[in-house]
This record gives sequence, structure tokens and C-alpha cells, in this order.
Amino acid sequence: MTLIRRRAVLAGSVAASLPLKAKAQGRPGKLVIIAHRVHQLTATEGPAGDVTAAWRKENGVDIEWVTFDLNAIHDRLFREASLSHTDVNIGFILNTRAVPSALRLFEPLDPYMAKSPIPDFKDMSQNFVDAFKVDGAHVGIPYRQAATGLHYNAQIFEERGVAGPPVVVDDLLPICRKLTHTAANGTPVAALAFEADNYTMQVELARAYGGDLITEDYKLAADQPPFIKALTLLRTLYAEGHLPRNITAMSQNDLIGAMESGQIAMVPFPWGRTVLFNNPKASKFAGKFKTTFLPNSKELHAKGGVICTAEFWAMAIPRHSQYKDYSWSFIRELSLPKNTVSEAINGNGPVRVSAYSDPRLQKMMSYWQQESLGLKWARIPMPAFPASQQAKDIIVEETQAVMLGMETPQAAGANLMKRLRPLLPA
Amino acid sequence: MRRPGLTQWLMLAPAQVLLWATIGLPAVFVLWLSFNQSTYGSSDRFVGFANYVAIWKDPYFWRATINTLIVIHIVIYTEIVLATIMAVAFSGLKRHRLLVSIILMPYAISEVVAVIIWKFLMDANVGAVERSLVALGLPPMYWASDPTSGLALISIVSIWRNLPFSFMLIFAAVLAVPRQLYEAASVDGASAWARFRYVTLPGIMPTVAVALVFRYIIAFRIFTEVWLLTGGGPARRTEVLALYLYKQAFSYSQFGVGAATGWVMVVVSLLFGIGYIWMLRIRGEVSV
Repeated sequence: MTLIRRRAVLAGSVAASLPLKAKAQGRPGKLVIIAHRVHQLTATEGPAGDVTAAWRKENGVDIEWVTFDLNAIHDRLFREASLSHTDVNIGFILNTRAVPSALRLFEPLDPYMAKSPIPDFKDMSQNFVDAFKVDGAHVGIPYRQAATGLHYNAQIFEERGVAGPPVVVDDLLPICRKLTHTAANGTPVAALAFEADNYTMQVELARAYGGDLITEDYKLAADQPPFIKALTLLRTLYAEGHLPRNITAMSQNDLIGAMESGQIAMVPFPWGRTVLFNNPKASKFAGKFKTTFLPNSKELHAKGGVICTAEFWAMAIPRHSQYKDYSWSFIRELSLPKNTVSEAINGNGPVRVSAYSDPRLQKMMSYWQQESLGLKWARIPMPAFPASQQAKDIIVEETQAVMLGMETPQAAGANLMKRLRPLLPA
Repeated sequence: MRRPGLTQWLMLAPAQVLLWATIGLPAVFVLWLSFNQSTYGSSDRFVGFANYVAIWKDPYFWRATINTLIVIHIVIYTEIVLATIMAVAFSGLKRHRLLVSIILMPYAISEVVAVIIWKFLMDANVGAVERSLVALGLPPMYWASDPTSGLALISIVSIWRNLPFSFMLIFAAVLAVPRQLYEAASVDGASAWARFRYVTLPGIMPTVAVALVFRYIIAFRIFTEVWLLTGGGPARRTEVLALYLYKQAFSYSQFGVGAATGWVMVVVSLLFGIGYIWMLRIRGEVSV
């Protein structure tokens, strides 16, 4: 008994002294990372295993993942990065939050790149890489992209005698009219749904009509015919009952649940979500969900192009953190070509184009060809600027007002011009 | 009464220090922040009352204020009336423990879980309550698309969640009214209504006043129900003050405006609370 106690005390002492020993050697006991749960899962769990294991073993450093939801990640990370000293070593930032004032809180990575470069860096989407530049310096390395495709329930299409999803935007309304119905058990089935507390659907439709809402160079096009046509289409879809009645209050989880239970026939989501929809443990229609591209414009379709929006995350090192060499080493590890593939196998949206040519990935991802083509044409729905969150709320408010018939599309377009212009960079 | 000496002050000190450290100092910091322009990545800049002026001029602040006042008035008065009726009804029952336990149940459920369950029950497509309403030939409650219905549902969920608090306070007060008073009233031939009006009500009024003030202050911060049910939509029509504050501070990163909103909420709820106590003192219903 005494022996066991002594051993336990000895083992405890050694374990407790490890961080101190590491510190004395100039290396951290652990790296603290602020991220979304999906980043942790794709880096550490799944069919490809723990991507971080080799690095941790080699460096003798543990990883502490601190995960939050979208708003909380940025609030906590920017708060930590504003301090004169922080224990947070790495943070994940969404592209819409990559505004100059926030990016200046993070370490320029070019010197680290020069010392220990990321292999085949040019293979990463350079649009994503450039979005995380401030004052000419790179401060973020892309980790995850979420390119949007259209998911549809093939069984509902078959039952309603609809040959396939809409190819061009003009097909959308006629197809929705065929798909909306009441199921035999009395459940209303809506043809289409989307995240109504976001702005991507409006932008995707406006682009399908040949326009935009806010261009990459901050030009406003809310009062132009394509955006007005997009709002008018949304109004018609809601008024005719092709969107769920409660769409304005539906969270992302509500949408997923509604798709899995057959209440919705089509929904735009990142391609990777098809795994969820087809999961037999959760879905009533497992194996029946297929993916395609969002409704296109006739002109772009003729050219072989597709409408695709993508949001993405990058890893950054707070300026006032410690052990930056280790942080860079870890970021580099996650960005290696082989690890990008492993993370994709674990469910991540790869930021390297070459990842799609990996046979394992092709075997696992039925949608790899669509996603790779989508990424080639992908554009961010809205460029980042300091007041982007206010802009988002304004766009959502005006769109919902149109959908619910509180305002005409033309009035909403005019309001958006008036309200968004002061928020945009000059 | 003897004046407290050094020992008494020392014994009180830990609680006072804790209160100041956790409430007093942060409140003072937030007050200071409300006079600054503050966001990530830049130093705070003193702007005087500019944040308060910005709030004053913001139509969303006024909409949120009106929504908050509508919701808390519906919630508090309904809650107090229901709690009083139930307390009086239960006090007449010999075996009321089971019923009291049932009434307390909403308080035992996590706030977030409770609101999500309500949202599911009221789902326009598959919600049990919503579908039952339709099956009974009643019109569906378009709470996600109609702001009035949205505020009504928020109020219903809030009443359900907080009824146990008011009920327990008032139930204890009803049980504390001396039985002899009821016996004397009965001997005098008082009806049930007269016994309630002239015996029960005066006896429980101080407690009702306390419940009102507490509920005012707590309800003023209503957030979870709104955030999880409607998110302030549709088109920001069901936004309340706490949600407005959250957006300013944590979505828009305008900490100065958020802090100013917080202080406006504190002052308004204090004014309401003081106003109530003053009114009740004048009526002689409470001796606070």
C-alpha cells in the first residue's frame, strides 16, 4: 500500500514537473488554441486519425483546444490578442472578421515563412491567403474552407416527378412549385430553405442574375436589377409557401434536422454536410441526398463556370503570445500537403487544390469533383471591413422585411444603398 | 440598537469586499468604458457622452426598449396574478406538496434546454402544440414571421419559466396570513371574495411588492428566450434591450456603446424599482 502511494506520489511529481521542465528548456508544456470545435475534430479525430499526434510526440508539447461558437471565438481571441501578454498561442479567424484593426493584433508570419517555409505554399488558394494580409504582411494561414453547393433530397424529387435540381436561376421557381407539397403524414414539405439570418443566399441569387451586393472592391449594387430580382424571387418563394413558414427563426441545426426529416427538399450548404444528411443514424433519408451546384446564370453556365461562395478560416499567432516558433511549427504541421489530405478525410474543407487529386479523398468524397470545380470559381459573399457585422444585420433585416411582405424589393434595395454606404471603406 | 463595532465590521468585510470586487468595480469600469470609444486593436478614446447620444439617436434602441417594456409588463403582471391565484388555491388544499413540486419544475430545467424544447413544440411544421392548435381548428401561431406573435411566445415562455419564483414568494406569504383572521371573517359572514379582498390581499401585499420589484429587475434583462426563439427577428422586430447590448458589444465590437446601453438598463430598471416602492409606500402597502 505504502509502495503504491510512494509510486503515485512520484509519478504525480514527475507529471507536475513536466511543464516546468519544458519551460526551463525554452519550450512550452502546451500550446493553447482558440478554435471552433470543427477545427479540433478535423485535426484530431476521424478516419485519418489524429493529425497532431506526430508533432506533439516529436516536440513534447501538448495541445489545449479551447472551443467556442462563432461570435465567442472572435470575441475571446481578439480580447486575448489585445492584452500585453496572453497565454493563447494560436487562434482561428473567419475571413469576414479579417479586418485590418483585428489583423494587426497578430504576428506577421513572413519571417517564419522565410526561416521554415510551408512546403508547396502556392498550392493553397491564394485568394484565401491574400485575405489575411495586413500592411503587406501575411498574418494568417488558411486551414478550412466551406464552399457552398446545393443539397437535395432525390427521393422527394422522384416522388414529385421532378427530373433534377435547377441548373439556371430561372428554373428555380418552377421546380419549387412542383416540390412544395404536404406529405402523406400531414407534414408540410417546403421546396427550399437557407440560413435566413445570413446574406449568402441573396448574394448567390444576385450573382446568378449577373449582379452582386457588395463587390470585392466595395462597390454597392443593392439597387441594381440583379439584386432586386433576387429579392423579388425570395419574396415570391416565401409568399407561395416554398420556404418554411418559420425560416427566419431557423438555426443551422434546425435546417439540418428539417432536411434529415424530409421537411425540406433543397438547401444550400457546404458540400461536406452531405455526410450528415446521409448519416443513417440521424437521417430518415440516408443515401437519398445528392449534391449539385447552386442555380447558375445562363451566361456563366455556357462558359462552364459555376456560382459558388466560400467562407474560410485561417490560423494566426497573437503578437503578444509566447513560444511563437512552436506556434509556427504547429501551424506549418497542420498545413503540410499530406496533413491537409488527412484533415479533409476527417471532414475538413481542404484549402489546397492538390488535395482533391488524392485517391483516398476521391473515394471518400462523392462530391470531390463538384467541390474542386466550385472552389475554382468560388468568391467570398462579401469582403471584410470593420463594420461587416452591422452590414450583415442590415442586409438580413431588409431581406426578411421583403420576404415577409413588410417592404417592397425596390424599397429594400434603396434602403440598403443608404444604410450600407456609410459602413463601407471609402 | 447598538452601533456595530470593529469586530462586527471585520466580520462583514469579506462579504463587502466580495461584492465590491465582483459587482462594484466592474460596474465602475463599465461606466468608464461607456464614455470611451473602445474596440479591438485600438486604444480607448474618451468621447464624453457620444455613446449615450448615439444610443438616443438609434431607432433600434427605441424599438428594443419598447419591446422590452411590452414583454416585461405582460410577463410580470400575468405572472403575479397567476402566482396569486395558484397560491390561494393551493393554500386551501391539505396535500399540496406534489402540486408545488410540479409548479417548481420549470425552475429545475436548464433555461437553454427549456427554451429549445418550447421552440420545438411550437415549430410551425412538426411542433406538437402548433399542430394541436391547427387540429382544433385554431389559427396557427406564426411566431417566426409575425413580430406580435413572436413577442407573445417570448412572453409565454418567460412566464412559464419564472412563475415558480413569484409563486413560491406569494405562496409563503399566503400561508403566513393568520388563520384566526379568516375565522373571524367567516363569523362576520364574509364571502370567499371578501375574505380574499380584505384578509389575504392586505396580508400578502408587501410580498407581492417585493416579488414585483425583483421580477422587474430580473425581467429587464430578458435575453435567452428572445435569443433562442426568434434571435430578435423577423427583421429585428422582436429585439429587446439585452439583445441590443449583446449585438453592440459582442457582434459589432463597440464596447463603449454596449457599456452605455448596460448603464441605461441599470438606471431605467432602478427607476422602475424605486418608483414602485415609492408608490406602494404612499399607499401604505409596504413599509420598506
